[in-house]
Amino acid sequence: MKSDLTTVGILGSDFPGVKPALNVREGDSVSAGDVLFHDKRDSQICAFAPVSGQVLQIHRGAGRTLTSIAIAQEELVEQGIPYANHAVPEDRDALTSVLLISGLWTRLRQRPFGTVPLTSIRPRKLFVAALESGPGAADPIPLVQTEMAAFKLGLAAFCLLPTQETVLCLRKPLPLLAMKKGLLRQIAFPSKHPNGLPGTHIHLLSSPTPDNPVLAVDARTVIELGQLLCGVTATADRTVNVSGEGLSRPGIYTAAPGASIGKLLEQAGGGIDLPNIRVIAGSVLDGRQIGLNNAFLGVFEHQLQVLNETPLRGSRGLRGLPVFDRTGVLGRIGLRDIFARTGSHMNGAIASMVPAESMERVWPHRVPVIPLLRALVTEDDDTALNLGALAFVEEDMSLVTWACPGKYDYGQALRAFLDRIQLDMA
Amino acid sequence: MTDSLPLQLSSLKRTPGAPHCRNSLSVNGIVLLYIAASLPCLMLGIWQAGSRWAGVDASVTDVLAAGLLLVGPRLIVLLGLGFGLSKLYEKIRNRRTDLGWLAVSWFFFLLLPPAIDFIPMMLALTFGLVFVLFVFGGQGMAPFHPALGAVIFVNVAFGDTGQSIEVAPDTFVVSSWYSALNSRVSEGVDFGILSLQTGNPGAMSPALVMLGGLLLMLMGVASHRMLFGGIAGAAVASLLLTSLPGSHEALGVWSGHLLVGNFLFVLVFLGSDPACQPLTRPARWFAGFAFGSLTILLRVLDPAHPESSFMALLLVSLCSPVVDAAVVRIAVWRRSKRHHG
Repeated sequence: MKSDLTTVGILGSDFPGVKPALNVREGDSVSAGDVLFHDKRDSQICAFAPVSGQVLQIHRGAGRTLTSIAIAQEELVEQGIPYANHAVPEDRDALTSVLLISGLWTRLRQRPFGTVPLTSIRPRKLFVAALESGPGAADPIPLVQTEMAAFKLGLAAFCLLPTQETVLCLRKPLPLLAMKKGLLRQIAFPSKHPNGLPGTHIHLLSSPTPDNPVLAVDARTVIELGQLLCGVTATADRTVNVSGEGLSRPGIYTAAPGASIGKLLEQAGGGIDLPNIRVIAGSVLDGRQIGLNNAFLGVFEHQLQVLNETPLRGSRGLRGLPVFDRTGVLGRIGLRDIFARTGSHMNGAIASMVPAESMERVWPHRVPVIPLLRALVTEDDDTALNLGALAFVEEDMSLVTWACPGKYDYGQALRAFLDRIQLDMA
Repeated sequence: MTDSLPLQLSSLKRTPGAPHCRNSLSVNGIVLLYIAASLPCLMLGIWQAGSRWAGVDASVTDVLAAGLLLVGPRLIVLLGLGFGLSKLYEKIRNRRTDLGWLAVSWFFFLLLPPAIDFIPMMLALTFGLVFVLFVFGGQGMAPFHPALGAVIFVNVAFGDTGQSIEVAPDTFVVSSWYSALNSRVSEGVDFGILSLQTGNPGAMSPALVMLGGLLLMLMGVASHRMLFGGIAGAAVASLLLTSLPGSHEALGVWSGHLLVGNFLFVLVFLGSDPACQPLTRPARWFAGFAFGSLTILLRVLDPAHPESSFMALLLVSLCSPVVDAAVVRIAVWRRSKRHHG
């Protein structure tokens, strides 16, 4: 199903680390490809208008951070990446300029810190994630196989970026005959979550530091670069899995990044402002909670989930009985679901950090998880650094946060740690 | 981090952001699961205490009433004292606590002889809660299980009180589990998994304790590394002792050592408690194995410590942070070797 969506938005959260200097004001008319804002750190990094239209609203959040820019689309045209027909880049600088003017540079993520990298970056390695493992996530391999020519071209171009090698992480190695040896390595990962997260690949295969960063990119961006270099008009449309509570027509819909989530939910028989629901863009583990100001599809978001919101008052009832751990044997055969509450319930009070086995069962890395988490919450930055915490961002901590009986938020603790390290460098 | 949490955050019901749902396991849930798993042991303890007191010919109601009369007041006093102390702690520190006090009072009670005096019992619980749990910051921060601290306090401060079992009118005194095993063996009775033993209310039936341990393990709460490590350590130590050329015949079958005394109870309910166990998996194997073997070694070789499992767990709990630190060092060394040559 193709969505008929007329308001399109750019999300500030799709540009982590970018300090936007706006080039437009509310009421301005923009054409597809116009610069909406550039980065104060590096003016070559820009965000482009995905469609032609009028800037409706510019939403800002806490500390005047950019939440979103909403654009009223003038006419329904097939959306696409505005700049097509580039020559295949021969060197790193040419590739950088192609990525910058096509807007694909902002799809790259740097580790440590998980931010959009500066153009001066010299990454040792580039990690291409061609697998997904999160709950409800779609496997990108069918898309890669359909667009194999573009994928190969994009991958060959991306190999110019790192100083050492490009690592392609996927479930089963692909036959990529044309690739030069030594530049590209394929590593197979099992399908269990969190093996699809770039943090898992990066922590296993490298040790990024602020002086020696690495980059991560997803398979779709590689395909889009390949299509751009082939001269094929790249479509920005992707499939979006819309599911959850209170939807009369849940299913797979097609929409482009920036599409209005309210309209997508209406198509699926739900709504964004219904009472007692929580709409999440992305997976329930690391997705973004949708409010009225950020109700646009992000560039990496392929699913919308609707959860029951837990009422703030009222008794817990019989469903508050203790408890079968989902990571235990009895929990795994489904006994847990008899007793557990669904939706956004904390399932317990915030308490001390208890080193339960449940957190270790969801941890894929060799470094011991409890000492790392303790180091993060007690601000023991030396131990956290030594155990490789710089390879992670919040999404890598979501499973241990989910499993923690003390209900700690390790994503928050990790971000505080990363902020301290970043401050130290400045 | 917990210290700085305002009170209203402690009762947060909704997830504040990603991840938007949480596991059903909570710290209070873990405490309640441990208590539920040890309930059959308490039932049997009540029954045994009642049948000793009321005599062999008593009816079922008489036995139950006698057992409840003997056990009930002590349990109620301990739970009340634990609750009061934790409320006092909440008031002084201005923060919410969890059900840690409940686990401590409960398991301390299960490790006491059913007819112990009230004053030593209350003093010991106060010691355990205040000096082992609260001064370190509450549940999850104690250096060893606070119930263990309380039991050792009884043993050290009040001598035999913690070790002898005196149930009126039939008085039965065990000075050592080693001697109990000896007397059983000399009577020609082999210790089986289904046999009942006298002692503290919790540790009367090895079968019920094992059932509780199995349940906790399957639910994903108790660490199987601690449990299997402990059983392996005890088995190795007792096999070694019984196979030594000069060993006394009365040591009996090696497997008897695993079932006699409160070794299994301490291993399952105190040793594998997630709040007090080592932080890393290798350290859990080490702690389990060391606890099992030390219990048997101390029991046989040191008659001064008849209830050797308490002392063994104390030693192991105090040593395991060193093993944890070593495991972290090795992990850091391996990581730097892998990535920096």
